Amino acid sequence: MSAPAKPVPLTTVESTETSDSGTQTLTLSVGPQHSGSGHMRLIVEVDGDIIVNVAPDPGYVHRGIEKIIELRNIIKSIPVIERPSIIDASNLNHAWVRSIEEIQGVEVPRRGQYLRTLLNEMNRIMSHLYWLSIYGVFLGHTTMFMWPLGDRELFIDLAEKLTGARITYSYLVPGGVRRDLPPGFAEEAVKRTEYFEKRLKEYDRIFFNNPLFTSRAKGIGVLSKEKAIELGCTGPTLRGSGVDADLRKDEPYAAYSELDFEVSTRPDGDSFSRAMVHMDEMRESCKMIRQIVKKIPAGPIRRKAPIVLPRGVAYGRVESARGECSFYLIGEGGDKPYRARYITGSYRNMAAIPAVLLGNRLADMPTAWWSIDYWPVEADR
Amino acid sequence: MLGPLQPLIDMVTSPLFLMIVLFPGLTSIAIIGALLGWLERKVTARVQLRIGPLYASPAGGILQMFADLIKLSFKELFVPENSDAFFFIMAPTTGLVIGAALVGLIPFAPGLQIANIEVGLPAFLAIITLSPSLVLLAGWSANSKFPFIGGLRALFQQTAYEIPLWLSALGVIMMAGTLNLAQIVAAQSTGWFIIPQALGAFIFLVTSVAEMERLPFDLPEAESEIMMGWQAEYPGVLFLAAQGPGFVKLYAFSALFTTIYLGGFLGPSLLPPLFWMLSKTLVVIILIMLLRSTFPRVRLDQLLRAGWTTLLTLAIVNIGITYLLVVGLPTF
Repeated sequence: MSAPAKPVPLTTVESTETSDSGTQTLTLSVGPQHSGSGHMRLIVEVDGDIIVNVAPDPGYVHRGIEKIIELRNIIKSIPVIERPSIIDASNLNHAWVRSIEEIQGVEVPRRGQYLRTLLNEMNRIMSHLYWLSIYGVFLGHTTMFMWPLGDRELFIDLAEKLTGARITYSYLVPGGVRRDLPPGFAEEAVKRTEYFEKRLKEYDRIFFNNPLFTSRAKGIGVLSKEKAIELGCTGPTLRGSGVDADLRKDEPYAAYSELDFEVSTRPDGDSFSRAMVHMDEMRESCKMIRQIVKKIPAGPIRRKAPIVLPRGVAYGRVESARGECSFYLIGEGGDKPYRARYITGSYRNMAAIPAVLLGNRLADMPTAWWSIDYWPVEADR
Repeated sequence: MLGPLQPLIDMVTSPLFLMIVLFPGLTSIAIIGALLGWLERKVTARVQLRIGPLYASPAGGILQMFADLIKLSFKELFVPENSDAFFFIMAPTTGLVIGAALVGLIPFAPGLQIANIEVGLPAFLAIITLSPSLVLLAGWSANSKFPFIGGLRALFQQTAYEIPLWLSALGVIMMAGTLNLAQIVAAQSTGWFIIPQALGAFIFLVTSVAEMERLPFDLPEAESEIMMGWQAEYPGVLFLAAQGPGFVKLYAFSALFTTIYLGGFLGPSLLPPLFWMLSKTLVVIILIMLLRSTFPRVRLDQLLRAGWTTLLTLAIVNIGITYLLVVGLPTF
């Protein structure tokens, strides 16, 4: 478990190494066509059934988004920025508009802040549900594959009412948001979140309290607190290792300082802890959505912001569903940025993949590595 | 006039030939296997709040699997270059034959049994013992990494469930005092064996699901871990041949469970014995299908540990209980 990953040459997919007992290890190429990987590859070396070496091989879906941003108007970049993680579009969008507003010095009206928070939290639930469904099917639980994807529709429809789009909203713009709450939205949101909380209890009954699941997830893929900090993990992965770090609390932005919610942490750092952090966050997000539709102040939703990016430097970061998503933005006075460095939660958590896999059995590979919620498209950008 | 052809006509019209060809033989096995594929998709869909197959016929997509059969049979029959072509093709097709042979041992109604042999129950369990070896053969002959891991897993898995499976069946044999399946059914006319053999029936069900390689014990083909395992390299018709035994075995094992625990074809004489046999089998099949949508996959070492400790102990306890039931308390 503690052995550091020795880098494997990426061309090595044949069994080469001979151990002391004269037996050979087997090198498996898990992905990008493997059904237990995403758009990425894990080169896994197994000794019998035990994983002795892992090298993540990302980059299959690299789109050069940082370069695209440099060539575009700051407003026209918004749909591009959402692409890397369309299941978590508004959180990524939020990091972008925050960094722009910091350079421009634009203050967002309070109603606009609340609406941003509302969509962010809805997006967090949708993203966690998507994660949960893949987690279920990786464990061979077909019902847990279908239920979360079906319940995700609750919030997709809700987001459609609010923004007009189902997945990629482009809802957050510099200075505020695009549209106000439609009539009847508050009642609908309360109804749907309450129904969804009932469904979460059913998830517990069929999956999380299932002894076969707990025996597969507890103690698997352990990432200690020190190791998680050392590797620079973030988001649910870090909180699953017992570190109380959440930008929504530590550096409150938008309306988070006015909302009552708890940051969920689990001390064990195994696959089960990370799964439970995701579940807790969905419950907290439901509470937040109800608070927002109750407490939302009247007023304008958007303040006029200039279309140009003044000379200046900003670092805008938010807590996205997969951890800290940040933009390091340099403006030079035109309508395009000079440079935009874009780092997402998945990219920060990639370093944890070998750490959680080493020493585990091949059968535990999907459970262990997917629990850190690595979204290849978001990591490659 | 038909002199030279008379033996042939006699053979074709003989009851045994009709049983082999029609029911409970090959034709019915093929149709029931395909219908079970449809039923499984429908049952799973109902649990998962979906609709499942819908369009392939007016009656809720019941022809979906036949459409899939047609589609698969038009695929290119591609045998990987480095594979051992003979064993690669032989393994899944032999698997189909074995699955069909199992059904031949089951008494579906008085007289409706292809092979009424004296050692019916051990013969059933002995034939099924071949199937993990065929899986290993398929995985090895494909000459590919994931299929090979799948084949090895099948063999490991067999060591976990095989002994508890036989020992749990031993309880039934002690109760009935015979190895003949038709006589085991007759022995249940006073009461189904599932009541005195509840523990044995549970062990038998669990281990037979492991034998069928169905979730939660589908380790040799675990899709998210080793990409369908031993089936990964099979194209078109051969994929069909690799998938088919799963459903045939499901049918055969459910029928065997009905025969030895649920009184087989016995039932109120309002309806024919065949109806009771098939409806009880259907209940067992649906029960096994529901396991698929309720449990995640177990890990190989967990299965081996459970097989060699919990299941084996329970099976021996079951034999002890059965001894007390049959012989009574020993007198000193």
